[in-house]
Amino acid sequence: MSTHSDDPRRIPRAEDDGLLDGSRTFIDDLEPRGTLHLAMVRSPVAHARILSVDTADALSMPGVHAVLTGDDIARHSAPTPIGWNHIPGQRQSGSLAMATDKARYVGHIIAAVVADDRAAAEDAAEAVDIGYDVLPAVMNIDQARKADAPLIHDSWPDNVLAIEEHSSGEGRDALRSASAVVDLDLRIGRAFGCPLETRGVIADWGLASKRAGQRSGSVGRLVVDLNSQSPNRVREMLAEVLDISISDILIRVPAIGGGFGSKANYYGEEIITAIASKVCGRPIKYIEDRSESFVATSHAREAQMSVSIGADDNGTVIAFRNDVVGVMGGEVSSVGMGPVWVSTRAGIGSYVVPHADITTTGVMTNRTPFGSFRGWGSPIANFGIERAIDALAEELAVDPVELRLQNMVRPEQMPFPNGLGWRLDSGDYPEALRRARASVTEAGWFEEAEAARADGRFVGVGFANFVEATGVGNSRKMGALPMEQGGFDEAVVRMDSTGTVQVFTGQTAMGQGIETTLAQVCARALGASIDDVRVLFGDTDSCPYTGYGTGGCRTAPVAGSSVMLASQDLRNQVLDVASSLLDVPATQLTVADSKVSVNASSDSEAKSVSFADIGMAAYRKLNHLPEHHSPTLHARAVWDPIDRTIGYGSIVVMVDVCADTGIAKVLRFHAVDDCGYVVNPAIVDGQVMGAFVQVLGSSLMEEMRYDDGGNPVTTSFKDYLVPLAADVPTMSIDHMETLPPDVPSGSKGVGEAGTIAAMSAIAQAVENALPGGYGWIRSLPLRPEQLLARINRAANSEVTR
Amino acid sequence: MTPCGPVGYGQTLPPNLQPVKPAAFKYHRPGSVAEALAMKAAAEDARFLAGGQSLVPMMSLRLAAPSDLIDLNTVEELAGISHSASHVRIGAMTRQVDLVNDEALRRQIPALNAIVDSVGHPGTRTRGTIGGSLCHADPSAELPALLLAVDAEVVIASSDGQTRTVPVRDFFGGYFETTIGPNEVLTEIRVPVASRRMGFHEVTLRSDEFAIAGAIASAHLDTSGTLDSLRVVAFALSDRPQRLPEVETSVMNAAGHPDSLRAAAQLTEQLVSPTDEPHLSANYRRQLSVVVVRRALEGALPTTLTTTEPATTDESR
Amino acid sequence: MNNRADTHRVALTVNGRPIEVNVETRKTLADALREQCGLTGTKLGCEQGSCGACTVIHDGQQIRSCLMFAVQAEGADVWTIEGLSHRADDGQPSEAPLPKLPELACAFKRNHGLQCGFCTPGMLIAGAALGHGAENGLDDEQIRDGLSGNICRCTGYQGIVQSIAETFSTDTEVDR
Repeated sequence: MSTHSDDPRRIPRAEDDGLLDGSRTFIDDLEPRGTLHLAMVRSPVAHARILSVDTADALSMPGVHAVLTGDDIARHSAPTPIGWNHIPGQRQSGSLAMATDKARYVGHIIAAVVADDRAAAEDAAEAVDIGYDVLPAVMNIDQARKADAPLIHDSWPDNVLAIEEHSSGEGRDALRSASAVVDLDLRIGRAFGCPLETRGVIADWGLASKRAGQRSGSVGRLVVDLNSQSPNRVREMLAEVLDISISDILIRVPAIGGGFGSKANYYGEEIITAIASKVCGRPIKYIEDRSESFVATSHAREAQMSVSIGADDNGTVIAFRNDVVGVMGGEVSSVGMGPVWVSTRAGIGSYVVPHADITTTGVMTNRTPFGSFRGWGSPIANFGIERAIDALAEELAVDPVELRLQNMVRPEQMPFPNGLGWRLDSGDYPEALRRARASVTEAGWFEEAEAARADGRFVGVGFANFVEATGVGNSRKMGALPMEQGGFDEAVVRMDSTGTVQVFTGQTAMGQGIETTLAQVCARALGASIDDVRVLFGDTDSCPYTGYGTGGCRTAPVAGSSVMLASQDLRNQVLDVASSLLDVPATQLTVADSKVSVNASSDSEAKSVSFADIGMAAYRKLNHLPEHHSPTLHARAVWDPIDRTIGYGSIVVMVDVCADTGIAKVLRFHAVDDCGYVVNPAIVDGQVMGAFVQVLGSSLMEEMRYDDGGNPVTTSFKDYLVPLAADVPTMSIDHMETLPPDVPSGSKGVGEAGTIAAMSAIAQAVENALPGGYGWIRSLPLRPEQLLARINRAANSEVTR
Repeated sequence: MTPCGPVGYGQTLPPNLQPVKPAAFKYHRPGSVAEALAMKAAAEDARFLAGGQSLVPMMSLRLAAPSDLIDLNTVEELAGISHSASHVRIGAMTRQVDLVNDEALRRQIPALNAIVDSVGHPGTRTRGTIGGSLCHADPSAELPALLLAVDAEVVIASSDGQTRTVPVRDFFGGYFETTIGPNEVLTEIRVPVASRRMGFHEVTLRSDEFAIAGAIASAHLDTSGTLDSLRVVAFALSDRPQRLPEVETSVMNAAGHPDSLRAAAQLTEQLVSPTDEPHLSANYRRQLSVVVVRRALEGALPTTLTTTEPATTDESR
Repeated sequence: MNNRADTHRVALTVNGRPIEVNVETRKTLADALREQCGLTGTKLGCEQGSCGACTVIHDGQQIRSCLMFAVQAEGADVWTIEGLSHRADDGQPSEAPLPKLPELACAFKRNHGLQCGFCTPGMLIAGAALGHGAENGLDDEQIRDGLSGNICRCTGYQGIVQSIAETFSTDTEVDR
């Protein structure tokens, strides 16, 4: 089970030194001179009409500069647009960055206090007096869909954001012709990305007030430092709501302390901070605190599903239907119900299902808005199909791995249209599962589990497959949807007069190692030594435009391709100049290690020129620069994906359920992953492992919980239990490297791979460990109490597997 | 009294804000217990600051907003461990990490390493104190339960110059409450010297987190290896650490026979009163109470009471 | 509210240099290090003592700098990641505690023990303190239990655990 420890691609990361000694700058490490600090006043009630907001006492407190209310936000900005507004008939809230008429969840911003420091701002926030007419809280799907349910958005006829149905073949009608049909209702708990660094923004629109009245139409320049995965999206959003031009906004992104999708969304805090700067004429800093993060940063995943699967006598799956209902929050996040909607495309996973029918519905509740978290909706979709197959295996009394192998898309079927709009482009899906099974068999997992069971313990092994849509495009097809967001990526690659190469990307680094990955892509395509390549990002003035931002597993396939294409262009320029310097045709030259050499000849001393020589010739001593070559070495490329490229793989986990407590622990994890060409195995493995552990958390211990009145009860790390080192197994990852046909870089994305099948594999492993067959786990996170009850029932009735 | 709730366990935040910075307060640096008590009495709404590992986060969330903080870290007479023939005296400001650094104390309390390892984290045990833990009176905390299990008593000094000694069983007033008065301060904990065998077990929902059920058993064997006396304490299962006399009697009546432990532990279910939460029912915690008590008993009592081999403490969860 | 701006002058040593800072009583040691000493390598992940990102060395022991008020640091000897990472190159023995921390940092880099790097300063200090106290090396379980106070949301901990194991192994033949 190699993790490529000797692979030459496994180079140390460029970003590490400044992170290890603490010198790298994160958002909270920045503070321009004259900065004022913002504290939000958030609703303590889930659902209420706002009767009054009295700021007088707060304004009179020492150190307070301003208190913004919904009225101020309405005066200075337009409603926040929904980026993923892509479903026909999707309802519009028209909501501003701050609550005006109603508070729709605990944590909804009602006012914002600007003061000399954060402590003073918090002192004054306590003094803002808000009158509420408390309304009944709508906390779950049943409450929200009752005929007489209170309306969360008064202008809507009900609490439904949107519904989309999507089918293939004869859809759910085909279930009637199946000889075996299994129905199951599933539930996934509410989770969130929970990066260790909270969100933060510093806005400086000081020039707006200084220039006011000087020149008609001048609004000054809005400079925003922000730990966002999608700086260009934020820039466009701010331009729209503040009614200024995009070029009058600069977004700069410092080092980001983890994003996991939660920082891919844009938020009202960005708008409020910008307006505060406009009002106060000073830089304004807002750092979300940890408790706020649990109510203010997008939640994710919570969904209910009603699933049916049908097969013929031989166990071949004929039909599948899934009615997915996502538990939205009180407001619509920037991704709408995109993560829920994905099930309509991803719902049948790695399998051939001739007749499928998926509906997705977003139901509003008085919870924190629902948005992005690593894997988006894929873990939801995966849980639906993989659980259904486990339940079907139980019904047919066949091995769940064999049933999977029988129904997976086969390599000779590639590229395979899944019938729901996705083209599974490449790979050998069954081989991944067979390889995973062979590896853990060889490593003795089954004997170990067997021996543990013989010893009275409850240990089991579980498998699951996944597909991962990566490198989303293409932009023209996306443009046909009712949304204004492309999927292309632009890269600029430059060489300076010392031969050092700069790669400018619109992607954002948040720990996933793009400064190393993209440097490796460039070095390989250009023939540069890796030490000579620098990757620059996070500045919307100097870095290229990437509409989609960093999310959806785009860096390796999309940014990687644009960087590769630009680097190849630059390589041709380098060859051109070298040819002139060496007086040898370019066809007889080789580029490697930042050097251009004449191909092996009889001459024992091969002639060569360094990148530094070439850079000098293109910038400073140009007498040998060919006439047809303009000065400078500069290349630009845009890659617009032809289509998504689908990563895939299989994971295996071994789980121990404590006989005394019912608490499950993952003992082992192994993955077979195919993300195409692996640029850096250490980084890829790190992505898979880190992603898996996040979903280990949401399978076993992490859940955002509310009481019946709509109060969140998980607002600290003591309640929202993210896995610690001792909760995590030793992990191993095996790679297949099938090159996707339509991706120049040869890589698929991998950031979400570890999340997608984790819930399904853990559920199956727990079922394998305990009596009762497969398919009975219907809800995650697991409740130890429920598992303990099953153990005790089995002990009482002597049921054995 | 320590009237504020814990950080964590579904604490609802105060209205209108999710603060991160404490409210302003005056800070005092006393040099003696007498001075500390005088400072507290003079202030409007003062609190003593011990290790700060619970109080500071509560202040950051403004669940506590004292007008004044009296910092006991500057009172040298409050820290340190001393041994006499009858008692081990532990100063209230002794850091949790220093408990396990005291070899003689470890011999007195064989489960000490395992128990202290379960208190907070390595980075909080260097500041957190035994007295602070006791006064915080978190029902899920290990050290209060330990001190009840070893029949400790606490010394409390008052601003009028008097001191009183209280058995730990009378120290706790309920959920996060103690019987310390506003003009008093805990100065010392006294653990009677004895030859103990101990067992400790707790259940947490994550590898390291607040216990949702825990128990400590402390057995005395006479020189012949016969069970002489037994104290069993459950924690995280009621509003304070709770001794379980019925369980003790049951084990004693069976002379500590290994087969009796399971039946004795079963009694726990009816003795504890855990809270009922949607994701963690009282019924489940009652089941766990039986498990932790059984495990603690198994750790404290050797399988054959005539052996003198030291019992191992059970840290597994 | 009535006690606003109760400030104290505090003298302490940070990374081997004596300093004096004026602090409002409600500022934590982490606030003072970050805002007044400019030592932003000490990260704030929760300000509630739960994540370990703000771990520093205080009088020789690891503490959470968000759980101590700066005013309490009078006379203290405090070391942050900045001071613990950089050793004098003149061959003089450094007075900094945790002498193996730089070596642990190298192991983090080698083993991909960090991704976003936000937990890393705290993780390095906690890991080096853990290893420092273990003369007989550490097994996997001891390392994982010893990191119970430090949250990493990116890596899944594998590279971190491996790095600590390698750095504090008593076996000199560890494969590098």
